[in-house]
Amino acid sequence: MAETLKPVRGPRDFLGGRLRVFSEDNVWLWLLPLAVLISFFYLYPVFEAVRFSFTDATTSSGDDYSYTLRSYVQTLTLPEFYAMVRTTVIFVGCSVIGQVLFGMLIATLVYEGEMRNLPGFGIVRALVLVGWVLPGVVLGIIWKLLLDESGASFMAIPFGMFGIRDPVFLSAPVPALAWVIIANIWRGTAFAMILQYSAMKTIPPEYHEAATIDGASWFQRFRLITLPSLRNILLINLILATISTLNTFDMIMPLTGGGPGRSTEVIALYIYNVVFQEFDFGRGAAVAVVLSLIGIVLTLVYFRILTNKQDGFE
Amino acid sequence: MMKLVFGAAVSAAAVLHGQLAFADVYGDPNAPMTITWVTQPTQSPEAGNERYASYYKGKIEAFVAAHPEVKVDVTLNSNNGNAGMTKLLEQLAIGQGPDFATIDSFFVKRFLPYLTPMNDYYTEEEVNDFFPFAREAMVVDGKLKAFWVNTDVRNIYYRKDLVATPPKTWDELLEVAGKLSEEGHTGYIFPAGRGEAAVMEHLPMFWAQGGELIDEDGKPVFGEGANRDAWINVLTFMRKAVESGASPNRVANFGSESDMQPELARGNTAIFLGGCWMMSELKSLGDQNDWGVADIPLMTEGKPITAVGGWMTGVFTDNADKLPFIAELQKMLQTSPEAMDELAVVRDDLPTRASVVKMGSPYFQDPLNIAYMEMLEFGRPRPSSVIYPTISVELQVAISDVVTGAKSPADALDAAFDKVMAQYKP
Repeated sequence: MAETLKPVRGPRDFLGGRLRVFSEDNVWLWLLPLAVLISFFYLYPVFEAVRFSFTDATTSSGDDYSYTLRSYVQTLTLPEFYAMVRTTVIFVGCSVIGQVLFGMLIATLVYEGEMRNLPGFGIVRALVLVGWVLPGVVLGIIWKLLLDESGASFMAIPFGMFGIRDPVFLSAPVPALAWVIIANIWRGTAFAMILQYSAMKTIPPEYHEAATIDGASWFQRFRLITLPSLRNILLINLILATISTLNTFDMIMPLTGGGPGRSTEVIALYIYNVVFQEFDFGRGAAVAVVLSLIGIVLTLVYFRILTNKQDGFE
Repeated sequence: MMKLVFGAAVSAAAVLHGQLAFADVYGDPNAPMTITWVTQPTQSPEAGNERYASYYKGKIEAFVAAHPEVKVDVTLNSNNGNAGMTKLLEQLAIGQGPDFATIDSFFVKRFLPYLTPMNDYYTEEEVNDFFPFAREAMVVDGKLKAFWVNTDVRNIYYRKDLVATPPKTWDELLEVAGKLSEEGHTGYIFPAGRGEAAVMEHLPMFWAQGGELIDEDGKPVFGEGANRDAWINVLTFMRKAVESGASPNRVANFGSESDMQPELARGNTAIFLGGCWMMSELKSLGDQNDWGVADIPLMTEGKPITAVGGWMTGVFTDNADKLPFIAELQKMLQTSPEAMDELAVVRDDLPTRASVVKMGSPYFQDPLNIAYMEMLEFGRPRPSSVIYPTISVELQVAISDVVTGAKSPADALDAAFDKVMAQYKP
């Protein structure tokens, strides 16, 4: 006689089937804990930042503040705000381009070296990562020591050998911004290298072998095989590098403090100075909102440009 | 099974480490009364310097031993002065402040609404023992709101083997520093970067000309009339120092006194403008030069003046049961002449009470320390005004712009004043 199969009892069958509410039809219940976490730790702080941007709150005002557009008006009518935006655009633009290009260069070198079974590239990868692992404040202090102009620093010694007694690194506006950009490129190259190296590793080696057999040069292989394969990762790299660089102030603070004058005071550092040196919470929040909008616009621009090119290619 | 045991052991070690690393409650854990103290790391039992830590720990332990019904909960504030004061203000604004705390002296005005008067615990004689500049900040409308517990002065240091007579005026300074620079030395360095030191070290030069940063109502006036002229004179002097070669361009990198230490440690500097604590720091770096200390050179020879800073302590609780204990603890730690005398030796802090000088402390056997105390007679603090931080930031930018040649002294000062007035709220 065939055995009667008993129905399998699962969680939904307990409590008289009341747990059926946690079915695939009620996905929102499964997402509820995540939604609560995101709302509490992300959306609420963002909401509060936007709310405070429309007040004249200071760090000591407690609940004694009023709603006003003054913070935005003050921010957008200050002449140095636009100079700071210009500084930030130059800093972010040059940093992102430098990080992506150097990241691509090092990733290509490591990838090609590994393809040829050359030794030592694991160490090269590890060394490049150092700049990414160290905290920004530490990097700022290290670069400040390297760029000490008194003649005893690592960077000043070569100048001394050519008889230049007082080299200028951080004590003039243009060189100071240039060195801040260089230090930031050094810092961010590792992350760009990791992303692009990972993408290169996904390219089937047969593509390169076939192209080599067909007589393609290294540059042709790079342009026609490697670069198109990196398109998606480049988009991600650009977005992440831009957002990260827009928010950078931890390295700049110990390195130059935003000086000389305001020549290296990017928007993120300005926010810190407004809140923690001038105690103006409302104005700091207003500038933070403006900075966030800039970041969102840039991200949308990247998406538009790079996904359109991809669609066109298809 | 082994994984479970290992995981539990690691977790327990982490928790235990956390408990030991942040063991900041002194006294019987079951004591019914808790006094909370927020202080700077360097002025706490957790100070990195062993001598400082031993001092504070010893005092607190002695206090709780004498009062077993009280435990003291010490919380460290941020090492960054501004960030720490901001955090403390936010806590007080929402009613979560400590019972008493260490406050940066020029922030005290922001804390006035929250400070509890301590007149009942100090005699008039004790209060009058504090230097005049300290008393002015401590006593508001007859109420003893806070205590100025340590201070410092600004001055110049000069190498006695290179400078026969310390300069008293700007012209003398530029002349002697210029000659020394031509001989291969670094003639004169001063803070001129983005940092409070750039402003504070030059305030005496401004005040000596009769300049005022704010008026009696707290309104900024530094960019108007004679005050404007005084600042333009100071900025012009700084620019001249760099243009003439008396000072190197790199003074624009010195935002704080500590930024100058690597330069000083090279041993080539003849004269520098800084704070009184810098000499002991320089000696700890191995400097062997014979330094003299002198008043800050002024535009024209006249009555000396210096800027004073330092830390204060204030009480925020109004719990009548706690106040006597807090008063006693503060006296043991910082506010009594005995405590100040000990702190002078331990931390090299200048005391703020005149009677300390007469106690025969070894601290005052050092001629440099005697010189600093004499400078206190004409010491002047920064205005403890709500708008001062904004004034300072804008003047730092102005100084930096002038020293690098990016702006003329007049343009830089006018831009700073316009910016401050845009933020000023009567």
